[in-house]
Amino acid sequence: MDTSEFKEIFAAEARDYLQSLNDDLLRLENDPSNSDILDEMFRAAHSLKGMAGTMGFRELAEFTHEMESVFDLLRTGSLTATQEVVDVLFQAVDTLELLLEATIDGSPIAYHEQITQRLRSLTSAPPTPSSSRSVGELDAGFKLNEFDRETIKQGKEQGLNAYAAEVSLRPNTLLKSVRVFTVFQALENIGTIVKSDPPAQDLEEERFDLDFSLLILTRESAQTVQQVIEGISEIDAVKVYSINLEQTPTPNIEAAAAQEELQVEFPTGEGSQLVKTTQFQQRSGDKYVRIETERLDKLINLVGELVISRTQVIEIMRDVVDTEQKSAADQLDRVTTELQHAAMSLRMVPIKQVFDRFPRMVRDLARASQKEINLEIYGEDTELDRSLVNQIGDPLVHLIRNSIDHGIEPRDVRIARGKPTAGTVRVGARHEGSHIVIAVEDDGGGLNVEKIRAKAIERGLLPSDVGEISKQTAIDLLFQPGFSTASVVTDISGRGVGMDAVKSVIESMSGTIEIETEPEKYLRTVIKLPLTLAIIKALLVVADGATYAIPIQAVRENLQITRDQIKTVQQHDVIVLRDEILPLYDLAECLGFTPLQPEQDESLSVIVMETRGQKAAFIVEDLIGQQEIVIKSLGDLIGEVKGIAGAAVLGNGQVALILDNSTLLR
Amino acid sequence: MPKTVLITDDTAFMRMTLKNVIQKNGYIVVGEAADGEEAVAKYLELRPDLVTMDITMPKMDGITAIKEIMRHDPNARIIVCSAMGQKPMVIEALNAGAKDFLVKPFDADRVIEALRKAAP
Repeated sequence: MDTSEFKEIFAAEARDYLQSLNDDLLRLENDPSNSDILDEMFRAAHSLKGMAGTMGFRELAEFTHEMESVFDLLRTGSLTATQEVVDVLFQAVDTLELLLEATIDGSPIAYHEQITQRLRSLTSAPPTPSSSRSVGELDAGFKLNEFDRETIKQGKEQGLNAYAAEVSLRPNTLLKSVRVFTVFQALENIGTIVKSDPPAQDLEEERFDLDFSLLILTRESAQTVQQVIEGISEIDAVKVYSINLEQTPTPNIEAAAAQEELQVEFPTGEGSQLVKTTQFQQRSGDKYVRIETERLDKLINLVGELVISRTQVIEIMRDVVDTEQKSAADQLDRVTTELQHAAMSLRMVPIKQVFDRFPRMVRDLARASQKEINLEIYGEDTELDRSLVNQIGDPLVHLIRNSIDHGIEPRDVRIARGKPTAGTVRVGARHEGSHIVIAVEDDGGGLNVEKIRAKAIERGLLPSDVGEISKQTAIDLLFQPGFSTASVVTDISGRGVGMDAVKSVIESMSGTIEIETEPEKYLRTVIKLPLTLAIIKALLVVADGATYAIPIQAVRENLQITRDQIKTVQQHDVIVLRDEILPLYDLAECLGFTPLQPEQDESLSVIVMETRGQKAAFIVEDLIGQQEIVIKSLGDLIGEVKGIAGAAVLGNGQVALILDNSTLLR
Repeated sequence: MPKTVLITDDTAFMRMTLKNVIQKNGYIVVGEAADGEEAVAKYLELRPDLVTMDITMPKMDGITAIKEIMRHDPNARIIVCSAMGQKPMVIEALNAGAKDFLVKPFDADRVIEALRKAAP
């Protein structure tokens, strides 16, 4: 059986379930008797089991089965969610994640017998297969709502019989959803299916194991229903029960009102129409579709091309006087701009994706460091570019680890300082213009400037006779390569990655990082990122006759100088700008072309660029101006070229290379 | 009287495997077709009790062939043969009138069960 083409969808969906299991466990720990959470966890485990079984991932299916059994006991009240149980479940979720990732990669599956045993010990009685459900549980399985009851009642008034059919598919049934479809098809020849459990959509998407139940209204007898289903291949067992509504509680007013609304829409109450209603209602819940990111990128790329063509058209139309043509061009301009915004919004995803894993992480870190930590998260709906979301996770994890490990003081120190015993870590995001600002903050000890000074001297980053250093200098030192503030390497953040690594990741995303701190009070790390990397503002310059684009955030200023302003220090050209000495280079020469040969009294255009606190001035032949450009890669044939970050097609159709400011300055 | 079967598949290997299983179980394979067009023609000529129909075939695909056969004979008993991942096609075939479906690689018992249930 070849299921490889479903693997990606499986992986994406399974990870979602894993995330929701993690979230629910955290909620459960604080609210152990909440049956909604338990129901949700049970469903998640159950769905995962079904999916894994469908994919033929036996180990995964068996493991989720064990988990499901525990959740089942919990939700029926046979087992209580004590701390011990929750701890086992946390371990189980971790194991599940390892299993899942190993299964997805096709790498060998790690030993997990121990945790499986612990799960089993929780379910002291052997788990009963769901196919042997008793009649008594039937109604609970269906959860008939007032609408269903009314449908059955009306059906009975018309002389129809209502049956519940419990169907079990044979193990190893292929294309289960299609098999279910044949059951539906056969039954609809003799009657109407009012409801199914799991719901029709879950059946269609194979989110079930082997068993499903159907509620049928038909003129035929139970025996006929049984025979019809048994006449279908790959059916293991069928049980048909007659449904009796006698013990039905009287509907409350709200439910009656809701049902009336539906009545208005479908006054005939005819069977086949009712089926469509239920299915439609289930579908209308789907607000999202999963799309391959590749397709999305293609769309955005094409829109990028369109934007360029639009600019070309507008440029051609500039001198046209015909109002009709002009208004057509204006319309094109407007629609394209809107399309561009719409397309860009497709790239945007909420940062929640990244933040979601923090509660669990903080819980574990807090336990490991024996500190009490409150995690506060805000702005998780703030959106940013999908490509940035993937990269921002690790730096944030590092910052949070730092906060818990080095920031928040041990309990006794906190008491001595008159702080609450529980430390607080706040992680949040918000929009600020065309940027997203992400902050990680803790109410711990803040930066110890003296400690940093000593460490920097020890590392040879400062001369040993250096006097007092300022807070800003201390912060700058933190970002120096090879500097780590941890005086004791703990198992938490002793990962060999310092703040310099965090900084370089942020800068590779064209972002900035800053630290604000007050000793013994707080430390706040603020990261500022552009919302998107696909379209940037650039300064267009000319060097050796060709046009180049420089990302605008790297450009500090541009100025005109005369030849006599160029000074020489240690055989290097420099200019003095507001008491600052800046090295001066010729851009064309840097790129390996002929340097500019200006006349003696001619003024020169110079741009000042800054990366990682380093400034430098570059002579250019000409300045063209600012423009929004769509970044394109140079393609696989050319690959990476030092100093060039990509290329962009300009409004006039010309291609400009985008300069990589960080390598230029080195 | 043993039931008669027409096997449709564009690969000779699959036809051979199916024929082998079917004949061992008391059915008579009266004909083989390598594409949809041939299947329709042979159906009309041979009027078999059962047809196995592959989906992806040259000239005329299995679904079109099912529709064509059902148009001539609404009582035709056709079992559609699919590969994993052809779910929408299988549903379309069932909607077009196929009685059952088989998923490759075939399991002998499943093949016989399908034949037996489609023509009791």
